[in-house]
Amino acid sequence: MNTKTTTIAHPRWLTALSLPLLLAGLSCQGSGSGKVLSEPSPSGDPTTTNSPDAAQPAGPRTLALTRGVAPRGQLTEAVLDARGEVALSLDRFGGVLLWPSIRSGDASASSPLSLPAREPLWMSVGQNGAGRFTVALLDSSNAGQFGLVELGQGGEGPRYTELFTTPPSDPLLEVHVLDGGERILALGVDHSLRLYDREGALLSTIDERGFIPWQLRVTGGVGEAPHIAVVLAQPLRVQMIELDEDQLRAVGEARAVELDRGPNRNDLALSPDGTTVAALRRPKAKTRKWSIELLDLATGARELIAGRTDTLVRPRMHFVTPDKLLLESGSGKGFWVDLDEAVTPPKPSDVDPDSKFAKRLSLSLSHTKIRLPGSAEELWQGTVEDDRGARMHASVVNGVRVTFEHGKEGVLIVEPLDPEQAASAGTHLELGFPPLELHAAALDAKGERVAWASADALHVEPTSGDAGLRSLGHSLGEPLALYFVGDRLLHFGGPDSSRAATLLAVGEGELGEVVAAERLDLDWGVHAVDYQALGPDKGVLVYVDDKPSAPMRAIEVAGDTLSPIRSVEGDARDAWVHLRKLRAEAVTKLVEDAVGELPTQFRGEGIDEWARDSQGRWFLTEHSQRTPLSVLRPDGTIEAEVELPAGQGRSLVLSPDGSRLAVVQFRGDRFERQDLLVSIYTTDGFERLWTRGLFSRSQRRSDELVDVRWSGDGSRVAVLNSGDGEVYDTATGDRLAERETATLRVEEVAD
Amino acid sequence: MKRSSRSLKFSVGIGVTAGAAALLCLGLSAQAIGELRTAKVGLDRGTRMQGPAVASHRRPTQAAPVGNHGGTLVVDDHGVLVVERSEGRLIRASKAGEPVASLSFDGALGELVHDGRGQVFLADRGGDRVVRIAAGDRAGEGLAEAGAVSVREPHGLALTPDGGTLLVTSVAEHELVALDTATLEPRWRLELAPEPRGVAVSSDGEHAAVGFLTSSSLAIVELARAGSERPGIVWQALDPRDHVKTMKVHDDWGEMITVARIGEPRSRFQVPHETGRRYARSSFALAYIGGDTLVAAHQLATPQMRRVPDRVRRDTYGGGGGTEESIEPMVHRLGLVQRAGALDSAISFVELDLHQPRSLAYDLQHDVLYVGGYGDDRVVALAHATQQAPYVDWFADLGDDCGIDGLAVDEDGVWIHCELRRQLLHLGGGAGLGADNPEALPDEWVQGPELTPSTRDELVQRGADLFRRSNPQTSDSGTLACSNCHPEGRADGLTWRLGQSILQVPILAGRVGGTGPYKWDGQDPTLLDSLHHTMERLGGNPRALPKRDFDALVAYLEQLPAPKTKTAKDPAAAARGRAIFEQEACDGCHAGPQLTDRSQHDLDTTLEQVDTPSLLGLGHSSPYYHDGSAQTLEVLLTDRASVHEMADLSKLSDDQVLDLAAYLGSL
Repeated sequence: MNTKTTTIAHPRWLTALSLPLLLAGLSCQGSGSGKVLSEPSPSGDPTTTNSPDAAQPAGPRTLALTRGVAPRGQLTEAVLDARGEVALSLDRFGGVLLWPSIRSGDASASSPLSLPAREPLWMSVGQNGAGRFTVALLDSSNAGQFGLVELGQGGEGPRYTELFTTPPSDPLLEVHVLDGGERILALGVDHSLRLYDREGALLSTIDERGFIPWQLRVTGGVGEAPHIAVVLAQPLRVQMIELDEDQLRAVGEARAVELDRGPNRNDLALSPDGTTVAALRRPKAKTRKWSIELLDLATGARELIAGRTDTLVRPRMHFVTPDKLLLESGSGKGFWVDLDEAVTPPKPSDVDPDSKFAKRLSLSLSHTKIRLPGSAEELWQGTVEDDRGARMHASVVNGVRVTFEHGKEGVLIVEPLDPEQAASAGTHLELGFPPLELHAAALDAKGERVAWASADALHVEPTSGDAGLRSLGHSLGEPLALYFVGDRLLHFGGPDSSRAATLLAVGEGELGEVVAAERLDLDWGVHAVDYQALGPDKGVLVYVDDKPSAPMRAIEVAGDTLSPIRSVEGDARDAWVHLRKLRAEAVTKLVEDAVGELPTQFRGEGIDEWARDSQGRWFLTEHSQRTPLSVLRPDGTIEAEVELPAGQGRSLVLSPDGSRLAVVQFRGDRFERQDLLVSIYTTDGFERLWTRGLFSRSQRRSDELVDVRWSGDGSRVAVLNSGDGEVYDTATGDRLAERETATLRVEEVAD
Repeated sequence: MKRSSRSLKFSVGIGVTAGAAALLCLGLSAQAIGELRTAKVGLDRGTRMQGPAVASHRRPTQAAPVGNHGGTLVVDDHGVLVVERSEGRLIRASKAGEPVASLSFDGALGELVHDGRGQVFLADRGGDRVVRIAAGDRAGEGLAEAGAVSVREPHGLALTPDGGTLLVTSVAEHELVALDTATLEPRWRLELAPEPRGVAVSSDGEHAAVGFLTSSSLAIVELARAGSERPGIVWQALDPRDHVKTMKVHDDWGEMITVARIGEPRSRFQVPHETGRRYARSSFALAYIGGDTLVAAHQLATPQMRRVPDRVRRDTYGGGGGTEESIEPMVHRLGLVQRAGALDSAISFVELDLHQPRSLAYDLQHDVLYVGGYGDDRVVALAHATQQAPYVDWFADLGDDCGIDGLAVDEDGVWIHCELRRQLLHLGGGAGLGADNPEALPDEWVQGPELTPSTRDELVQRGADLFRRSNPQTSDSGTLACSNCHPEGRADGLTWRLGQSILQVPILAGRVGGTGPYKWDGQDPTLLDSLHHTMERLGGNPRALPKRDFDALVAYLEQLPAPKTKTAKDPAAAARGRAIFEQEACDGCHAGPQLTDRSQHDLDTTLEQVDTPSLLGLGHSSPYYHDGSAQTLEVLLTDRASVHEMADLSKLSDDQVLDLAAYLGSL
């Protein structure tokens, strides 16, 4: 596999919600529901009323945008501009990204921006000059939102400017930004076809009785007027529409079309030159045979072409060039259909896919087969033949195919299509944010730097908001824990067979250099590990084996040296009691031995999670989704019973100075996906400072995958959740850093 | 005054077990007040995290000002002011819930609002007025009207933080109206959308949010520009993009069952249809709470869950679904909007196990939002309401004849108004240590006496109760109450799948008295038959209801007044339209005072025949035609009207069509 990788580092210190700062407020003009008229009210008072028919130009409401934002979840849909150079993507949580320059191969040029939109039903984009894009979206109530995205120049950052809106009382079915970004074609639920300018002024409309368009097809239009056809209902017909000097008009006759299911963008497609409609049909629901009727909109002439795919599922049909169609079978293959091989059927009824003529044709013709990335079904049940999976819905515009691939969350596949290219040749671009799958995190003594480690990479960045992410691959294996020791990182982990403690340099130019390493003595495996700083650049690492009879072991760290492994004996073990592998009743005995008689709810196996501070206080939770936090004094009396948010305890982690307590809780069944939350409490007064829900884009089962790490001074806390990492300010809960994916990568990959 | 403790609930259990009649009576009366239970916290659908958190991670420090939204209750220094909406009375009650004075009005009332500094306003909905109220003293002395202004059919009220402007939703005119509180002079009117109800003002006084019965969106109005040539209105959609999918799966026993689950919507490469699409409706209650979070209580309907109902029930609302792991065709939830009206606004949702949330009250100190269920007499306490990971702390069931239409918080707890009992309750106490500790729950109930006798006929009163109630006799598991699809006897603006047909929800108010037969195809000769049939369609058990209950529903429906007409923007056009209406013989079928000939006609539809519907209130009831296929009256007249063979209006000019639409919209 030939690859060319470009990586780019973007600052990732700000909110992961992708909802950045609001630049400006409001102006004299604003968005509205319609034209405003002045007329007297029934009482004679002057009134303003709205006519909902006209789009309302908006004032310059603007919003600063952030680039380099990764999708929050699996991408589900992408649309392209008329040139096939810019994409809008939608993820499963309804987030919208604009990807400029998807074909450039340059990560900085392709770096996406998060738009202020949520769960749009429809999206369209058009380029409006260098670094400017007109965006049109329909929200879930079919109201329209139209805006301008500017990437920013001369020190100005990217921003979104609202152009105009249309209200839900005037719902739209489709919107299409035409090339140049100055005009927008829209189809209303009221069946009116409209052309707006960028400010929302209505340039032209077709709103005639008996003219009932309910779908549009728009193709071409690069540097010229687009080709437009409307799909008319009752009966199903296609009508050509001409756009000339900002005026729409219907041209020619409406041509009847037959389909074997309702009209949709797959089965009824308009050629890139706007002259021909292709209608895909199949003789039955499960078959490899297909036929396509080609209808010349101007003359009404009809031709037929047919063939077979390699699966039983309905193929995806793309009209790539005026004489070439591409069919995707869902198996990872595509078929080029040469329309020069289409024939005029002897009689009109022969266009029926069930006709003998059509069947003979499908058996006689063969079509060039190619590999297509991102074409396969998600095979969650049965085979691709069952058609029960989730299709990857590719978009093809101006010869460019954009799609996604299961297992590659957050990645766009961009593939220029060349019908003349040999089946075995060809490459495509993969743009995306590979997940990092972090396993460990560490904050330095003052919380100024955070380190993240995955199985094969190390990342260090400041928490101050400045740029400066440094990443390095490593071969140390999966990290079980990570600690800052002065200017060094202590990596604890590695393959099962050779776990080690490794001291690494983190300075500029030396990131990842091994300074010292000590292979671990292990019997069965590592049960738990912890580190205590004893000075700016020294401390002790203690770990406990899975084997109950194995000794507690320690490694001293001083400067650049690691001591040989020694056992922790006698009273020294008391400080590390939290590492011990204890059954529930052993935990109870441990606490009872310390404090005496326990409150009723904690006797037997009543203690769920526990922690002990340096003052000998015990922090306990119960096996309950509504557990409080009970604080016992060393004498066993209850110092406090603190109300927690609903949820059962997952872990209690005290800050190094004991002044703060992180409480991780879960809601739900231990065996199903859980919702996780983390709260920070003071340990004097037990004030809850803040609570955050822990969202993981992977949405995987979360038990055992949550880790809390404090900075040495307790001012910062890092939380790892299912491979995603975030750093918060302890006092305010403000998010200072997040690391969930790698930075944007653009790779050229062979098909 | 009656004071009871939650501990009596346990006495009920003991009493019943022991069979002691005295304890049983005591227990029954304790249960009549309220049964409070802790909420189970698991991975229930309602508060599950649906994506990245958008709410604040910290406790709010500032609540929205008093009066940011209206309701039926105002708690002030002298006690409680209560609106008995259906009785047309404003009542001053003591802190024990006892009435001490009242004002009477003709007709139904809307909301009440105060600013906490002495200004009180009331929406006299039936009288088409907004009334300034002198609140009087503890004894009720001085309770009086202190001025009024004409506003057609006012309902929702809210005050700006400075108390200078009163915002009013006008149901008849589809407007938001701003009144100067000092003079009651209108400052501006803004037409928004049909069926506005709740209104709330942000803490900075810059925005007002309006909710609607028949719109999926909230209107966020920028108040500074609302009266200008170019008012600023932002529409906040509440509909989810994802759909309900029904599918057959194997259960744990290997049996094939039908389940309904949330899934991605259909791709644009698939045949588009409405199956599984979900719609937000009935935003009665809005409020700004801590952290300036906007709360919009609403219902979420899936009117077309499946294309084909299952074999057992071929004629079901929504097309049927599953019984296991199912999404009901109607659920109820809160939308929590951060930075409402801003470009970077964000919204999250909490689904509640509560029916028809129509009242809200907020406690800043504990960041708890109380929500009242009009359909199931349940109060829910949502903790961490403005923060990430909210959860239901506890809920209280108040019996089955309350009809919660108002909530208000005071320093001791929460006041609850029962519309149907015409009664105030107060729930207080509790230490808030977590619901596992029964000592921590609020447990002090105060139940006031009847505030005012009912002026409604007993049968009508009973009918009102049945109409709004979530009841397993009337629908499967009580999922759908009549008032879900017909709030206030009107319509939800949706089309529902019924068997093989897609049918629009008609307005009932004013249209059903003496206009049989019923249903879109006229298959039910009487209203009684229609109710029976509807309940069967809803999966209820109408045979379990006594005839008296059906009589009650009929009585209730028949006395509902028709919706007030919307004032025609151009009366001359409406007059011309009327002439066209008659000239084209539309009044041949749409005849008489209720504009129906009560006959059935053979039209080109999926119905065997179509019963002529009444046209009363047409201006409020888009979309149009029996299948809701016409978004506006203009579309109805130029598009479908010529398609389903109802009428051929092709010879009318465009201006004539507009005139006819103007007339129809004024009916």
